Amino acid sequence: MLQNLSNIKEKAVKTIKEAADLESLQEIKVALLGKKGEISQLSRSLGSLSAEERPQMGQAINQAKNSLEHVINEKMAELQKAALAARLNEEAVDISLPGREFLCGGKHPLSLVREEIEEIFLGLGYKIAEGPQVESDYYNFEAMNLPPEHPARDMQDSFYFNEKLLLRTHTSPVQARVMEKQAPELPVKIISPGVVYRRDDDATHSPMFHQAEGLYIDKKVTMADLKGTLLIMVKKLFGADRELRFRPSYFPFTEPSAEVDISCFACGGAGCRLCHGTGWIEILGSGMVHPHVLEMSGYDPELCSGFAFGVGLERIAMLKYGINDMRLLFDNDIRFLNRF
Amino acid sequence: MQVSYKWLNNYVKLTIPAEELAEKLTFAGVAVEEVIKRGHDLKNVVVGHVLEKAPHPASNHLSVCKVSDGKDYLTVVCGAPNVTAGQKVALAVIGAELPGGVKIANATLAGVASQGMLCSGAELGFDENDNKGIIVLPEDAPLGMEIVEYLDFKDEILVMDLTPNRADCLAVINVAREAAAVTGGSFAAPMISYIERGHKINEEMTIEVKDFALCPRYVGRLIRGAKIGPSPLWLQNYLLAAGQRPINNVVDISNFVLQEMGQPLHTFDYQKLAGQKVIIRAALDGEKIVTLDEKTRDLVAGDILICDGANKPVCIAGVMGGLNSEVTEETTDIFIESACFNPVSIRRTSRRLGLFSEAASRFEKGIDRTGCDKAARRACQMILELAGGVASQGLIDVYHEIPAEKQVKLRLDKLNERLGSSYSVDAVAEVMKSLAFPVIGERDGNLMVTIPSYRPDITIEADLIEEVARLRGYDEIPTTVPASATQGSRSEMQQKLLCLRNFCADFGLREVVNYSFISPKEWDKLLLSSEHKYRKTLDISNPLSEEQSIMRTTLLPGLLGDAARNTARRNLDAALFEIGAAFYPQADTHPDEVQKLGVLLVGEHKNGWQGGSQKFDYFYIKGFVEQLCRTMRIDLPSFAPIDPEAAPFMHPGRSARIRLDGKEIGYLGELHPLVIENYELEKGAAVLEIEIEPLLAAVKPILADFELPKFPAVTRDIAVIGSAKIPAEEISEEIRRVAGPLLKEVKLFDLYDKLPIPHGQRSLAFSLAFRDNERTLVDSEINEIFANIVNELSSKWGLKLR
Ligand SMILES: [Zn+2]
Repeated sequence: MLQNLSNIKEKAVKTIKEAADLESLQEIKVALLGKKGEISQLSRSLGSLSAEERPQMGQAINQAKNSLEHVINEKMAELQKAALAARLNEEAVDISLPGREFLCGGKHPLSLVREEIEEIFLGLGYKIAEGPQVESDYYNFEAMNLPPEHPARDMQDSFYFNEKLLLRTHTSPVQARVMEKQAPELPVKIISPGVVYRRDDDATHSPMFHQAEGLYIDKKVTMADLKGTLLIMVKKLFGADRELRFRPSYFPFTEPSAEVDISCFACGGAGCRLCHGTGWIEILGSGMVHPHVLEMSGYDPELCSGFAFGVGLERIAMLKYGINDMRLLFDNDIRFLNRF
Repeated sequence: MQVSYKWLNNYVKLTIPAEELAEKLTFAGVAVEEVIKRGHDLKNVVVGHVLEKAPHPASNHLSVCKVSDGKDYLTVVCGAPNVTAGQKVALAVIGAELPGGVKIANATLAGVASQGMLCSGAELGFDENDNKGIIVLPEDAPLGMEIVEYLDFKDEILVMDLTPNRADCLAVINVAREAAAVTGGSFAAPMISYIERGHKINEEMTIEVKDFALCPRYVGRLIRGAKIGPSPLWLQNYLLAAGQRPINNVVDISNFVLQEMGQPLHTFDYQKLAGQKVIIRAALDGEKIVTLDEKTRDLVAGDILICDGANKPVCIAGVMGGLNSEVTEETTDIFIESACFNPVSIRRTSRRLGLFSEAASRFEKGIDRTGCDKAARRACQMILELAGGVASQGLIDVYHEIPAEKQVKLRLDKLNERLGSSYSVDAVAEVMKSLAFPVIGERDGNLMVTIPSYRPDITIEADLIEEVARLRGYDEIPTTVPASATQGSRSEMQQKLLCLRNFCADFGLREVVNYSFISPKEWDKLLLSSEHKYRKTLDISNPLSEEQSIMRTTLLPGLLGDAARNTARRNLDAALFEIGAAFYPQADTHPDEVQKLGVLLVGEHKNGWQGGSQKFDYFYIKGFVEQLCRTMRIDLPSFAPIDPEAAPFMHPGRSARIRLDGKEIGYLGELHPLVIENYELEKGAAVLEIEIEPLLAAVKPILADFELPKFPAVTRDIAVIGSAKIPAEEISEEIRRVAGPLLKEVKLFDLYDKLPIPHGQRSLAFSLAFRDNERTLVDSEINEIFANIVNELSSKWGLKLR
């Protein structure tokens, strides 16, 4: 009987090892260890043995059973691993295929530039002020030291609705409104971004465009402060190694007034196509707030002073993003918009 | 304004080249845009003599000339109609290069060899406008002399880009003053002296100014017996450099004085002034005058007229002279007008008539009233020199008042405080000296400065501070950063608007920017009735074109225009958004500016290689709104059927009005197929237009009392069949109402309307989640609620459980 057990075990180990898959292994397991399996049948025949033989034989059967179970489990683990590997192999995809496509949006370059400028000045302690696009002649011109028939009104040819109402030609009326509301409280620190309109339409002018104007009024604000503030702005917008150049100019609402150039970021100042060979690019107008403007808005020019500047967002966007035609900004071709 | 470098040298000795001067002026605020070289690099163009002129054998409009250059006889084929034998001409010989880049070489014209070219004034760069024929030189021009030497026109022209405050620099002498200030040179005004040998002018002429508001000063002087003729070359060259054409000596002198002193003059033929009188008065509506250019001009009240003693208009003051009093070749007696006219009136008149003369542009900007007589005397002096004649004694000077010179105080401490500089009083005084502004007193760093009458732009201390800053150079001002004690921040609304913009971009929409003005033709394309509220627009009274003539009342036309352009360029699918204002006129007050969000989705979103697509339909755009509300913590708005009268551009069955807190704030849905057609879109489109302010006002703060529910939710599904006309939202509302507070969520998860569901019906499946925050719910109570729901849906709409 022992011999028989040994034969069964030897044969079983061989078949277990040869099992090709989990299913056949299960069948083998049933055939060996199931209720009707060979080992169970051997156990049942124990009764025919003598009392001396019985424990010895029982022990042998148990050992064989345990050992076979162990072999089966090992084989099972092996087969499971192989099956998993096969499944993973089966599930593999062509990883070079493109991923699922989602809508991809983005902000308009003018929004990007406006937000960038806003962030710079929020960081410098400014607030953002806004106002109406349809303005009264008073806020757009008179409060900005441009009385009726002032020749400098020609610089800002306007769209009118009637004698009193027009589309603002700059965001300066926002400054007048803020000052008037706040006077005589100091300081005034605002940046006013927004849409403005002038009656021009050619390759370099759009009848509608965008500005961001800054205003800082406090005790003893100097032109040196204006230079320092603008330097911070252009370095953030156009790179840390930018330099500024101030040229005297004229705006009715500032005195002294300055046009501001930055050193060309394309050529570093050596002269190139972008800067027309000069090494400098004109980017904004600025100056010390005209005493009349302070007075009209309720501030005493003897007690405080301030600076103001205005930058065209189109110009900044065109320079920053290499846009050579302003019309692209209002054309809204999605191939253009998709770049941003 | 164009200023000749040579001309400047008459008043200030310049030791630096024109380019360097231009740079210095520019950085002192008197910008020079360009330096034009005149007569530079012109060689091998010489004075030639036309000896013979023969017709060209093969061409009617060419002639073959035999021309001497002083050394050789050359055959030159010439196309100019005015060439004749005996003329002295400008002969470009082989090897010459003309300003336009034309190189002269041996050439054959219609079969005849030509050894040079006879030049026009324009071809030489001598007179841009002289291109009708070749330039004909005086008989005594020395044969063979280089033309640039003979015409003596080598010069540099400074093209000024003047700011409106510096109208004083519309005079060469004032540019010379600036040049002196920036170079450290000294300025010398022109010497004016001559002898008046004639009668007393009062006996020969009368001037009457009717309205000093129109004409604050009028100076008249008279010269008799002058001879009109061509101007000398130097005078012609100065005028050509300034961009004015030489005409005759008297006209050229008046233009010279205009350029030199900035004072426009007018010269009349004295004999043509009836009654030997001029009257300065306002025109009457309907009056007419024939101007120098032989055109009849209609006048209106407000124009300023010069009339003769018979009250007949002889000149539109400051704008253009009349033909009837013009100085002609026969004129001998010249009445010189040097006056000051109302700038506003001149501006209006010149604009209305489209006459933008050098004189008008100066009057418009205001001229120095004190200088009127100086200019008149300058003209007399030059006419006597160049045209002869006899000057009458004295002048007639009619004025109301001549403003006195101003004094402006300049405080050193204020100056340094404004600029952030640390200039000494000496440095400041030095600048005043370079400007020739007399300082009449200085005490404790306070300077009292006299402002010359030609600088009306300087009225207050800040103006003088600018003078110091610009002449010292802005480079000298230090760079400092102001200390900030303020906290910068966006307002709550600005912050929310930023979130909205971010959401739209992050969702996958592309932001566009459209003009605020649109065409009134858009309304028909949007199928609006004639009474539609969108047609009540704010209209621009001076638009650039009809396309940009009315302020938008909706963002739709702009967005649809974008879609149309993109479609035409074969960009067929687009997801766009715009944030901008719409404008609504209000009686007697400022118009309303309403900030709106507009979204336009055209076509579909394709899934890529896996196939299929998400169509941009009603549900897509509604999903966008719902997602927006969930993201920004806004309670979902309600959606009501569209009113086809109010929104005829929308698909009536696939669009909805958006209501938030009972207020209608916008609409969404698919566009009407006829609108799709009108904008020539190839694919369907869904739109959203919503008012931003009420939307963002509904943003709720993040709640501060959140806790995870302690007890589990019990979920049940319910599927009902019934008429497809019953809105799903109403069914879920009814479920909520019947179920009461234990029902926390109702979610539609399936809609089925295909066979075997009968036509016109559909099955809707909702998943319901019940929960009590205090205890675990038991099945029996849920069963009861569920049964109530089933009963209610059945009795209300006849819905059956599926
Ligand atoms: Zn460059």
